[in-house]
Amino acid sequence: MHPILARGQRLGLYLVVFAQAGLLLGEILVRTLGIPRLAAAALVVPPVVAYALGCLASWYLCRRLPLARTHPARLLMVHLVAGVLSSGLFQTLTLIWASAFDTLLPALQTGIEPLAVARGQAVLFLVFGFLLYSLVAAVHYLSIALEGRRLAEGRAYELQLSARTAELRALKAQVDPHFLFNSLNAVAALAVPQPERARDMCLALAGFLRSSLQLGSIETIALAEEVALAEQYLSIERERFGDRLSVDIRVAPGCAEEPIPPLLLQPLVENAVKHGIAHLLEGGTVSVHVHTHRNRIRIEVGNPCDPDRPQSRGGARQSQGIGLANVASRLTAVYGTAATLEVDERDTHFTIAIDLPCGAVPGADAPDARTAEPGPRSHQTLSRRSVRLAPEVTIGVAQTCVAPAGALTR
Amino acid sequence: MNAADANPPHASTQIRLLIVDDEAPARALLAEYLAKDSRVEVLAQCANGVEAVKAVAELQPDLILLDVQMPKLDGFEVLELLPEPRPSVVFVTAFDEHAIEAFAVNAVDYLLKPVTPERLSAAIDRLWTEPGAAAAADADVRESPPSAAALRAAARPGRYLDRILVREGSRIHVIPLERVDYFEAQSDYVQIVAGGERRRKQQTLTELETLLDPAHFVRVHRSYILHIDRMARIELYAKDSRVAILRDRTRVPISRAGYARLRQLL
Repeated sequence: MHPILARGQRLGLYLVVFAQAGLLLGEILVRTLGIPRLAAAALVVPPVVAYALGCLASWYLCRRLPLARTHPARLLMVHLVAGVLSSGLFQTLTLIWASAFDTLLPALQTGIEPLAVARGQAVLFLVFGFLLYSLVAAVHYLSIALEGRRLAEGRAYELQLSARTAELRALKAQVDPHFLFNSLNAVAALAVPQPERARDMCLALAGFLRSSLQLGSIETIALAEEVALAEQYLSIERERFGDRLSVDIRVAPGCAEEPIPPLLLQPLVENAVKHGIAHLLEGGTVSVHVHTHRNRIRIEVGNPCDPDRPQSRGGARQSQGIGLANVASRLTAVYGTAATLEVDERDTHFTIAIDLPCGAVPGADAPDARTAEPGPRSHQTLSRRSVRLAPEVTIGVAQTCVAPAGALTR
Repeated sequence: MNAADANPPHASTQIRLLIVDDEAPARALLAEYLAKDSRVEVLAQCANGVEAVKAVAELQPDLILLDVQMPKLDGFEVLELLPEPRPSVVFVTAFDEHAIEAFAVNAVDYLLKPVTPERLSAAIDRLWTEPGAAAAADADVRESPPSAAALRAAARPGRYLDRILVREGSRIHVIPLERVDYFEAQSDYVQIVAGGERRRKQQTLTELETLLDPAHFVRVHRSYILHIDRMARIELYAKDSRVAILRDRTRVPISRAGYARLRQLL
């Protein structure tokens, strides 16, 4: 749609500007020929306004010849020819108007020879027409550029919005529906015979869900908190699996406050239960061992698994797939090659080890920084700040979820 | 023996059932609901599929409330191992991803956890008011009943077996397909050869063929399905027949049609 014709307001403004240009031209005639001001205005303003409407057509030409993608010589040639033709049109318009002038406006009694004036000032009119054409073309290019930027901004916003939506979808996926519904089933079962245990489980479940929602949107967490989240998860699973699930968590002293990206450990522990313990008649122990060595943190998660479950099904990479792939891609995004993830897959035992640099999480401040440089800032304050940020961020996500339309108009 | 035989409201026609779930709270919840229902008698609770298969043989229940995700044997595999006539089945599971498969294997109902008492009662109603329905449906196809595995496979096209279950008396053998060398037809049975292990299972080779991943298992002969990952080479045996030599030097005959299928894949 034509940017000026699209709205009456813009067209009106455009015509007013042209009428003023007409008055300017009339003033030139007054100065050079000494004719009355009113007569000069009446002679040139109507053809200028008519010409203004004609010049609007150049928009289509401008659109066909975008500034950035057209060869400058071609651009210049085309607009030069169009400008010359247009100014010719303008001159013709003035001649037609001049020849009809006396018949149409006899009351003015100007005392001038309109046709003679038009013929005598042909060069002036040609130049003036050409200048007006150039002005309109420039305005059109400006509006095309503005429109392009508006679209780009819209696209960037959409992109941001879809990234948010993807994040939210990922958060939802983090909470396995089997886990959720089985846990609720267990709460229902405990409610009558053991109401207090049911309440404890309900609280643990709520705490776990809340933390996993919050943690999805923050960048670092103290290792101790991540371990606590995994412990909370395992305590819920223990209600379901009973004696079949035992837990061995050992965190070497001194690692507790190390900052790490959140939700690295919990998905691994979840896999250990879901693909390991859950498939064993007698169950087994999920082990989580964390220690530091030479300024690197090593997190190991191990579980026994059923040797009769083939690769495609359990115990192994493929079905551990989503959680494991998620952890791996997050590690790469944050640490680049500075972090590693090893999978040790035996017949009856499965171990995953994450090895990452101590200290700062590079992704937290500069997403492109790939080398982990142990920063001077205090880890403790860093992690505490991140956690305090969480509720606000969560609210933002919730808004995107509930009212995407509202988010757009903000 | 069957609840179908008598009029429902009589005491002796109680539905005798088993609860099968690997999570104790889940079993407790169902037992609590059923304790108030005079139409049913809970014979036993089983904590896994292996126990369930044994309990069905010993107790001959009318109905099993069966969880799907369990260690060693999942709910569907339990069904596959039960001899005909099978008891009626109500699946009880956390998520609806198995619903289509469940109805494909003629489940009476499919309950979602957390189970509500109303929903469980409605499932019992189905069996109570139309007790013969499931049995009659089975009788129609008694001629050559498709196995539970075949019915389940039909409900999830594009997915293949990853292990074979064999029941020998009270023992259950789980054989991952990656360990299998080949299958051989023996009258009504299929012999499964996996390393030194040989097991017999009541199934036709043709039905088995449809359940296996065609990228790894090829019907090389009227009586043989070969795991092609185990094959070392092919030798010409007679004018028109060949023989596959496996890595452990076992020889498996290849027919002309079988060779054509093999060549197509390789």
